[in-house]
Amino acid sequence: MEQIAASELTAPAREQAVLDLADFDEVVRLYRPRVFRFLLASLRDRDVAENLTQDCFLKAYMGRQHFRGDSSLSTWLMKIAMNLVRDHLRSKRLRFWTKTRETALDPVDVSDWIPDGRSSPEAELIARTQVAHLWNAVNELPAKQRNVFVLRFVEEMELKEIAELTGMNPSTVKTHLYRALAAVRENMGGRR
Amino acid sequence: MTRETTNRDVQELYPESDAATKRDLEGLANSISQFRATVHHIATRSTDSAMDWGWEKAQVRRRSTQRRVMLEWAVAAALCVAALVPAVGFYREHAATVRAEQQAQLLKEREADTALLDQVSSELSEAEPDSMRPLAETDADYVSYQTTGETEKKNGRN
Repeated sequence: MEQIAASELTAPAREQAVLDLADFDEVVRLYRPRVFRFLLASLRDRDVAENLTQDCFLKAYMGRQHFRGDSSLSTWLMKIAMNLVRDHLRSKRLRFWTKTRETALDPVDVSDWIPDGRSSPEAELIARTQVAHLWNAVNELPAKQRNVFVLRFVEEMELKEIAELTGMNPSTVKTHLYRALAAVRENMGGRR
Repeated sequence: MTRETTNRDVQELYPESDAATKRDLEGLANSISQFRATVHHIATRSTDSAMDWGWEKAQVRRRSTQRRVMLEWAVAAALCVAALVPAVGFYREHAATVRAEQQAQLLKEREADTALLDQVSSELSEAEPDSMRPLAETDADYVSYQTTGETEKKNGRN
């Protein structure tokens, strides 16, 4: 549904219209899962991801007159989300005295969320372990590499889209992706 | 993106890999697929459960964030003032001490000058000098004159 809706909303004029107050609920309905997924995968904290998702749409609503339609609506929202992640991590570093929130997802708990459909308990256990390891590995990536990794492998965006979103060259995006993959692979016990 | 496409995507980044590396990459692609499925699963559950997207909550949080930022700046400013007040007090006290010392020194110098001037004026106003004093002074003047004369001669030659 989201994919279909996103492809239908490619014309900037249509997107501008969608951003009107009357249609903003529809914008939220369409893009909220994507924004939330990106924030969740980047921050590993469900509550923070939910709050920042709300903040993202609030910012989009407040600044909707600045949206000129140069990029797609999805790209614009993801840019806002990316900036929110950056600001959140920066303020978290500055507030080093505050405790880590209890809502931060533990990778072990995260692995409990793996959709059903494993053939055997052993396969399920292996899958859980792999997801837990991968989540840890992603969390340890530098910000740029993590963004590129999440956008490519969780949000399934094309390199060109990621380049537009991050403001990098497609070749730089590819380099970041390669390095991210190498770091994740090494972290999970593979070779570089 | 399916597991196969993820695998192809990962393999693309390692074009010249041997069989062992390919197996390794397949495992990695599998893990990435599961990771993606997990994140999608959590997101679906979380966003389905809350229909209200939280406009009110977001606004309240925005306001509270603004208030918190203002409060933090106010606290930081108060701390700066609290740190500056004793420093300024100390500086002013130190400056006053230095000024008092300088004044005392000046006063001492003035007293010494006055004493010297008194001495000079008392010596000049002596009606009758000591009997040996002119001789001693003349003697000293003569030695001084001789030294000065020799120096002048040397300078003239040069």
